[in-house]
Amino acid sequence: MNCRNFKAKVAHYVDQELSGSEMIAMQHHCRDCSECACELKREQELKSMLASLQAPQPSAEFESKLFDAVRAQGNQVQPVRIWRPWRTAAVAAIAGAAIVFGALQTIDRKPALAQSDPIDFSADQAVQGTQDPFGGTPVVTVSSGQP
Amino acid sequence: MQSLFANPTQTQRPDPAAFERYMRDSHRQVYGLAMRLTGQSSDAEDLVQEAYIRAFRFFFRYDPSLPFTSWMYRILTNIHIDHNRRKGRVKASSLDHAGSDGETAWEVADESSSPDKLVMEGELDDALQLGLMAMCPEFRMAVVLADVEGMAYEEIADVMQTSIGTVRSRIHRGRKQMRRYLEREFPERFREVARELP
Repeated sequence: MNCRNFKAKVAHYVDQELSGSEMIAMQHHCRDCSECACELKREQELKSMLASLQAPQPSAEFESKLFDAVRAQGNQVQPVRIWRPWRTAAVAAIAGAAIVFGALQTIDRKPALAQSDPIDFSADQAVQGTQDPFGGTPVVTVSSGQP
Repeated sequence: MQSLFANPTQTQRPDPAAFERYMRDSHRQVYGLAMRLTGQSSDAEDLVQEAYIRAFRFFFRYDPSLPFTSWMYRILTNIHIDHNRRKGRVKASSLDHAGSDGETAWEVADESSSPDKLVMEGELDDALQLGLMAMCPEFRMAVVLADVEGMAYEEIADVMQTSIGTVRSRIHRGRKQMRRYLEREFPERFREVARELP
């Protein structure tokens, strides 16, 4: 233990917040070093003075005002809404399912939309059209003129 | 570290009668801490009132197996820190004590009193209060909880919602600031310890 270490730990020594071996090392150093012994005494004195500070007392007027204020709060206060993790999880799950369902619907429709694009009919192609029985986009089939 | 707050599992309306019983047992002690932190009775009263109103609203979170006073200290210190941040108090370069950033300090609340006069009149409490006010709020809180309230570092860490390492650092630096301030402002009283030794 040197003086620097002693000074860094003197507050915790006074508070008895060091390990047993550290406490003993501090005591040994203090016996050999008058400067650190002085440091320790100052620290102890300050702590002792703070501990003996008189507790300030509130005035009777303030006590009465304080209790009235809290009682008034009691008449107004609404129950605090509690956050419930299961409720948040349920909302998130429903939202997630809706997004997934919407995405799947979009993917299903994409081929039909692609087929409705304009088609360049060449002379050697025969075109046959059929009406979608469910009223959707007419299905167009293209076949080559060659067998 | 055990939390001072119970898990909020259900909606509850605060029980005014139970709260009032706790309040009767604790309010003087809570006021004492508020006075040491603010240095002014009017500020302390406002702080205590706000703390109890907030505590009442969140009373359903209080775990009765733990001390109510510690729970109140936690609420009070949080409010006090919030107030100080909002105020954005002027940093005083005239005091050479390091703040939380290691460079700055906070203004002493009562500048009209003559420090030496206070001590000569035997008003040691006032001198010590001035010394406490010379620290930045976080250091002051840690020192007051340790020395005035006699709390262990673990309890202080719980109240201040910080690590024990931070508490150790704040207490060490806070006391150092306070000693420097007292030895400079009240040399007759606070340097005599050094002279007594060989």
